[in-house]
Amino acid sequence: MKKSFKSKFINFLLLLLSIVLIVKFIFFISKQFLPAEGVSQKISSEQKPFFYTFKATNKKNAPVKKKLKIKKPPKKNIISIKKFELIALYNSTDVKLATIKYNKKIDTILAGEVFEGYKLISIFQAYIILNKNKKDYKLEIKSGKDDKKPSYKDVKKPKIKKSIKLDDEEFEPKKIERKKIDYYKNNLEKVWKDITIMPNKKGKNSDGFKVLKIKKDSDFHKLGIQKGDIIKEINGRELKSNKDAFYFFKNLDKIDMLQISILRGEEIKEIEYEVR
Amino acid sequence: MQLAIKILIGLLIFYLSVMFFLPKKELYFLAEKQLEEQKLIISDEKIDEGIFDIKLSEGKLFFEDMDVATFENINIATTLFTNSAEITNFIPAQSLQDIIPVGIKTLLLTQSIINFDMVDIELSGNFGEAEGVVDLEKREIKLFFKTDKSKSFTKLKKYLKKTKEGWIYEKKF
Repeated sequence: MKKSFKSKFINFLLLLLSIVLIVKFIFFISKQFLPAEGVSQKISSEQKPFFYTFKATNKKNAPVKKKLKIKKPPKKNIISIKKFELIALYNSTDVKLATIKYNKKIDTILAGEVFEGYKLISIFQAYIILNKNKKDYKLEIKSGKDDKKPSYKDVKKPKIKKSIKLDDEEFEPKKIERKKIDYYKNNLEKVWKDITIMPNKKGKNSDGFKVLKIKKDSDFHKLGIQKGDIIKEINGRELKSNKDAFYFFKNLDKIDMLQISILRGEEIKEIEYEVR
Repeated sequence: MQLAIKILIGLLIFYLSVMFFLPKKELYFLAEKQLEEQKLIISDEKIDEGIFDIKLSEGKLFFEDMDVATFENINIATTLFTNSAEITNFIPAQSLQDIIPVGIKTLLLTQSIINFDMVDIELSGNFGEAEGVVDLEKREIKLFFKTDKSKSFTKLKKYLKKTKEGWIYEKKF
């Protein structure tokens, strides 16, 4: 009788043990199909600032400046490069940057950054030096008569199919009051009331921000933005994500110049304002 | 009678082994991958796996690569019949504090097997207290705020709607 009870009890314990083992085995197998690592935020590479000082003056109104000391180019065998187009450059003690066009791609890069495999190493008054595979390449700014003084007149606007031709008068940047910018920075809800923008999705990525709604007579409307416009770039930096838009909003108070590149229909339009 | 007891013991052992051997960390990683598809990333968190729960501490929340908030602790627990997540000290990132004037001291989310599409929410913070539901079927959040005299609640009012029931926050997702 006792033996039978013992064996029944042992059988029951074995049954319980087998339940535990089966559960353990099932989860062991399922673990193989589950991710073994979590997700971490990747630290993005250094962002191009929105807030460089980009003085846009046409020749008529350009202030007379003292002659700049021109750096002598390095004494190296420098090859001219034709496949790129140098659209604009900016050279100061703090910021050195150049806007380069290759096919339809336009990018603004800082000294030390790489464009299509070419590293921007030096910026001079009318040209830049790029380096690839230890060879130096010279890229001159496209201009007319006056090579040494590139002005906004020389800046070629990106084209898609047609491009709006802008004369000297249009290049004269209009002015926007800094207090207005500060007001919008501190009153985000006012921005939302005046303008509604959404990322313009192209597959998984977006190629700008589409203006869905804009209040008539608002400051945004006065800037020249219209419903249906796609805001492609601000101050030479592409707007590809909410992060870009938010980063710009966060640094609004640091800008001296507001350059907005807009796709309207099939045309690229540039809006330029000087912040004062 | 003896058979019924044996069955009960068997079920209890089965339940306890499921809870004990459940690959909680790996399931959390799977949830993280799914959240990543919605561009939401929980990063830099310390993970401690308990017997019946999983505890995340000192983490950061990113949305579309933007630093959105930090949290002190998230305690995710399951009994298989109910799931809960308790979040403590959920603070919006410095850059967002002007836009989202809300510091959440405690946020409790509970989901039951009986009403699987509804997640109950209870939260408290510098704005006072609120409670509400997330309707997963209708993809809707509804929060009822208790009127509070704090500055944070006053700032928050612009996002809320005043009704007979009080201040309500409604959002479709």
